[in-house]
Amino acid sequence: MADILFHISLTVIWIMLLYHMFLAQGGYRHFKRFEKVIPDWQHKMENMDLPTVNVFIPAHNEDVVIKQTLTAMSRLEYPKDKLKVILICDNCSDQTKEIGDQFAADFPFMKVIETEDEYKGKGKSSALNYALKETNGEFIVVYDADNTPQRKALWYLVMGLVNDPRAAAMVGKFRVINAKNTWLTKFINIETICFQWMAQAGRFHWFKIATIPGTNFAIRRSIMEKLGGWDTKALAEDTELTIRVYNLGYHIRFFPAAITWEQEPETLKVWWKQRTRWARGNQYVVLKFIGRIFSMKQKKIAFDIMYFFFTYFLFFFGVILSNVLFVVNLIFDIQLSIGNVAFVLWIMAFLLFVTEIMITLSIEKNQLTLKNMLYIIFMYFTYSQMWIVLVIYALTLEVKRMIKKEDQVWYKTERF
Amino acid sequence: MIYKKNYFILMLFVLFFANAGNLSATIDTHSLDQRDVTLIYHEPDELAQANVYFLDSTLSGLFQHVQVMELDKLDKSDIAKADIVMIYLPKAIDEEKLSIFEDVSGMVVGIGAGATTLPAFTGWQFNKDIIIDQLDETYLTYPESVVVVEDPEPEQVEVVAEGRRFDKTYQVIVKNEEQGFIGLDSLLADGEEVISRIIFDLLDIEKPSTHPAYIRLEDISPVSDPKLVQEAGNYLLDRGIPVYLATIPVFVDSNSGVQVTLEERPELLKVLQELVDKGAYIISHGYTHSYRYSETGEGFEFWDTELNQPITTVDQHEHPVKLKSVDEFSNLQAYETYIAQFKEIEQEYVEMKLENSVHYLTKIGLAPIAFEAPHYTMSSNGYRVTSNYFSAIFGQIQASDVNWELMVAPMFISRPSVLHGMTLYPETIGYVNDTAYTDPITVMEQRIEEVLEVPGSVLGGFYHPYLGIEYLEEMVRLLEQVPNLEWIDLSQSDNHVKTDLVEVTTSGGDIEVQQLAPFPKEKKNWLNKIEEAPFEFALWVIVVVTALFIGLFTIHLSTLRLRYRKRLFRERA
Repeated sequence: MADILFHISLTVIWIMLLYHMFLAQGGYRHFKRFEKVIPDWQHKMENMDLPTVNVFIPAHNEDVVIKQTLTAMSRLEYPKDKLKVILICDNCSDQTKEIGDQFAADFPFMKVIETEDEYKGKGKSSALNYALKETNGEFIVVYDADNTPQRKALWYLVMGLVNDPRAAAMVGKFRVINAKNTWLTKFINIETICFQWMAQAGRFHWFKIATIPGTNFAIRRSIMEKLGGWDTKALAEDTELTIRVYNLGYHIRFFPAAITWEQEPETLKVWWKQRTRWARGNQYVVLKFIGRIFSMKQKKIAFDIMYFFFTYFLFFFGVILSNVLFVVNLIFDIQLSIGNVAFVLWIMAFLLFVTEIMITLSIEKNQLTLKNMLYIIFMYFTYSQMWIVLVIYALTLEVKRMIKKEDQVWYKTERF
Repeated sequence: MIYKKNYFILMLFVLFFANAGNLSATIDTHSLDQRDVTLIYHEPDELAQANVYFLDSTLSGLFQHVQVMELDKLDKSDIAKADIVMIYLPKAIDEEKLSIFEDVSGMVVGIGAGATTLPAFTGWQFNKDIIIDQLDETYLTYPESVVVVEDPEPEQVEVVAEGRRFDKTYQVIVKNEEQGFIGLDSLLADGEEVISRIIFDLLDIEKPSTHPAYIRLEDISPVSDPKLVQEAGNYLLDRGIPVYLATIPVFVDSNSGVQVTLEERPELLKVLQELVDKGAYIISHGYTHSYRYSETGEGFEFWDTELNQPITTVDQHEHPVKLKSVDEFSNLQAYETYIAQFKEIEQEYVEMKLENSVHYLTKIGLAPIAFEAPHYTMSSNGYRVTSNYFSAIFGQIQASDVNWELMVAPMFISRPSVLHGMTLYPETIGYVNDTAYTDPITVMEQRIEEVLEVPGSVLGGFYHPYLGIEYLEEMVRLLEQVPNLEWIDLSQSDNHVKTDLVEVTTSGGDIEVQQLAPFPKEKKNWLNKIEEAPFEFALWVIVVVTALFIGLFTIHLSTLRLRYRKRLFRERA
């Protein structure tokens, strides 16, 4: 019995690890490749009539960060007659709107709108849908209110969409601006670099898909309209949108030339709330699509849905099972027959973890440092393990919500 | 010249006696009683069958000619010439059936309540309502109901064994010139020893003066500690005690199914080969010591302990089904047709295991000269198949085909008919059991004393080398104290182990190994390993794949570092 359970947990864990290994290899290859197209694409951009672009910045009481965000927007390199930066004030009770109005006065291509009626106070999806209704640019670019994109970020996003007609959306890279502030942001920094170079770049390389994140991405208005906007029930509106877009038959390109910097939670409490929302959001998405996994038009999406299913259901279950067996085995003799190979596998898993992270870190400037190396090792035993608790917590919340049939409530991440 | 000749005769003399001494310790046909004995039983239930096995093995250890027959198949001519007719009838039967015994010329020995109506006991008076708690001065584990003889009275018969309760005594086993009577329905447990002891008086058998003895080093498998095996083996050899190594060539991890062979343990193999070179004997103790892969702990190779039934599958991954019992059939014939197919499977299985064991052991230079079933468990069909390969078997006899726990251990080296000609070297004194007893040596000492009360009884015991040598020294000390003890040396008597490919024979102190045909080529070892533990193999594949990727990632990493400066420079530009 113990043996069967152990086999199950090992199988689940290693499907996940091998898949990540495969993604890491894809990510590396994407890194070697993605820049090669830029000279050609640049040439085309310079010799064409550029499309009109709307930048959406959904904001709910963001006066702590909005000034620097809008400053960064004012510096975006794009013809100003083609660009409209729209600050969407959703139910703001602080100075957000006033700060936005000042910028709008200084920069004619900026505009502040306020959500109304049924759109008001419902969360990010709803705010974006409102802005979608109020504007008409050919491309839509979304930035979170805490983002400071680099000057060329928007240019690259548009460049991608203009040159890659099969892509419905262009996803840029985000970096952590407050990486050095606390131990938590150091971990998050490593984590986000990893996530982007493995999961995003890797999946684009192998499957031509990347998850549309909440920020720093461009999408064609035609697609958004075809899909009927964002799903207001989804806490992870990004994952949800990704699957629907991909299912239309388009690519979603990860184009790391477009870079934005964003704030990450500096305290555990804020991190916990933000990640709980993500986890619950993704669990919602998995449950929404897993039943239709074989009826989806794009067969490759099954990989992605299964990936999420593993991440938010099976993998943590496997890890917990394995941990429980380990502890029980210390106390009782449960006659686990597996011998040295289990130990060797564990070593392999650890080495894999370390090398994968090292590769992604060494892609970025000044990231593969001795300090970060120590953090990686420390992370394996701490930060990575927190994930297990978080997923269980999110799952219980989600189950409770489904039993009580409540609607999702949006939690806005606190800024620093 | 004369001196030389005398010397030669003296040498001959010495050799002859040395041999004679050894021979007496094996089953020496010349020392057996030459009278004809017929043992008769009738429609035995499980317990009665076990009694028949016990009587059969005890008689065959004392008499040269023993015939065992079912009453319904008995012909008058079968008993006409018999010197002793022993009739075991624990239950009353139709008196008409007993008329066949009307004019038996030899001695009639009746056993059990059913035997009271035998013609030989016409005029005798029995009382069947007596309970005793002592028999022949031995306290019984539980008070037992017996049949006692009331008439003839003590003056007219010889009381061989008396029963006792409180201050009353009863005639339980009696004899006179032409008759003998044993008032027990079952001779097992407490009765075994008493019967073995009194049978000499009951049947006027000459009492042997010596006790044959052996010590088996038990359960030597690929996971045994070579040092401890070596120590124990050498200790016995140094004292001139024959060494019997009950060897299992393959160890199967009961959980993972992973197999380890003796060849994969070169250190142990070398130790065993050295011991054999010095004169130790190998006993084939099965092939893997297990049947099902799911068995935990020590397996029972030739008996399905989970279902408590004979082996029913050849493929060990196949799930065995519970055999139907005889009650589920309308008649015996239907049952026997049903069971016959399983007996064929069992035969195939036993043949495979025995051949594997003999061939493997012979191939690595450890040719076996006898067999011992793991935990002594095997069905009568199994014994029949085994007798095609071996002539000597160690241990005890499983006395039932439906329950392995019913074991019979005769006190003498014997050839019961259930063994189809094989000679049994019985285990009578157990083993040093340090988990059950705080003072296992005293326990063994008491046991030896009990066994020694039986004239000519075998002192057969075994020892686990993993216990270290201290207990072994004690065990040897106990045995060496016994006067007239003769160590059994199997190579002195005629024995054989035979398959289609090899033949091992012993005679006059020599062991001859003959290869009759080449061994078939083995499957490649790693292919075996996959079959044994496919999951573990898959895990090793993952290890290799992961290692390759880690290597690849390290290369990526180095390229990234090498081009790092160049990249930074370009980014700045």
